[in-house]
Amino acid sequence: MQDIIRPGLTLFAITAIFTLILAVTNFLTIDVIADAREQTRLASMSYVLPGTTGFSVDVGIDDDTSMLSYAVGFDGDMPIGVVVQMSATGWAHMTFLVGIGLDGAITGLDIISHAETPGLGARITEEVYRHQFIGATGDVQVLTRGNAGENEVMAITGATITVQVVTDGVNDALEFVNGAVLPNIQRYSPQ
Amino acid sequence: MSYITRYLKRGIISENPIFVQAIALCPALAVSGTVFNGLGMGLATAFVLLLTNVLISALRGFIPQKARIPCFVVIIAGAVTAVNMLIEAFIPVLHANLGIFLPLIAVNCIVLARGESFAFKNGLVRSAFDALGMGLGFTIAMVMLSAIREILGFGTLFRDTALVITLPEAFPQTILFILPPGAFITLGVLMAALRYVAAKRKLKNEEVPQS
Repeated sequence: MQDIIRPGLTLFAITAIFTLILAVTNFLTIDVIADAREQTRLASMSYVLPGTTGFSVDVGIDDDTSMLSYAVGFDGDMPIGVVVQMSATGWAHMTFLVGIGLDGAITGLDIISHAETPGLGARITEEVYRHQFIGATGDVQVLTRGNAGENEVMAITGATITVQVVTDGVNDALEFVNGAVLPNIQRYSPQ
Repeated sequence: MSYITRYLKRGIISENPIFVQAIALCPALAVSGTVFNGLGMGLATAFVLLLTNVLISALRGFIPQKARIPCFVVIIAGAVTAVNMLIEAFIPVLHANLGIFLPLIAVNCIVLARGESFAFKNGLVRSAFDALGMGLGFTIAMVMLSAIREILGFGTLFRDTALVITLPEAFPQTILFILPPGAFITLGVLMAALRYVAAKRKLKNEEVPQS
């Protein structure tokens, strides 16, 4: 019995101590991290919809697509487009923003957080890959060979799934914004 | 203090974690596509190894022999998670560059291996230098591996940094070297070459006293 109880209790004690350390660390850092993430998100929203001076309130999207929420961007009082926040699973959970102009075409794409493999899936954050989506209007296809034309993007070698989930998200956002948000855009106002 | 140089030399050359012990191959192969990633993974691992070796060495009187492995796992995972949160909160620039590597290190067997085979049996200072030697050895191996893969695969060196060198267009870019099989091939050839050199040197050293 002694062989079981003492090691068991020690392991319990070590786990308890490290849980306490993690709880304290989490308590000290959670607000700082949340603030920093919110700052990054706001900067990123203006980046994917160039020329915005303000946004409407975030409207949640509760359906079975990967869209989380959207906000209408304004230049002064004039609506100039919509930013959709997406959540998708590539290798792991990732969040990204899609900016769509009044003409229904993509104005920008930015990955806010991800845990893709460096050198493979993580290359989706490179400008070369993100910029391929700009100007797309709907039904974007992923190409594994040849040259990408309109509404087409090149796959990243070794990371086809990452590119595919981002593309699926972009397509969902285009369909949603063109169908449900742009026709009613006058209803929104800057906050 | 002669053990300092001995530990460093052992970690970098005679017992190099990747080339000689062939451990920690999973992160080594996955994250050695570019020098930036290889160096980042190497330095982050060295830092975590230093931290966990010191912690395990400090707690070795308290950890029971029979439950030591689960204790190590708790200590390593706890330390890595705490460091990850602290870096994200207070050094965001560092987190933006190295943040993706930190969670990977919790499952890097180099960290568990040094805890089990060294830190659990040795004092604080010795464990710290053992971690430095092994961490440097891992980092150097990662840089060698990733430099070869980046040159052959991307036709560049130090991409994603300000020091980027792009080779002429005519230089063939072989996609195979960016992909996982390229990592295995590069590592295999590099290991063979280093063993050949080591064997030749050993032969030479043995011949000298005889003549």
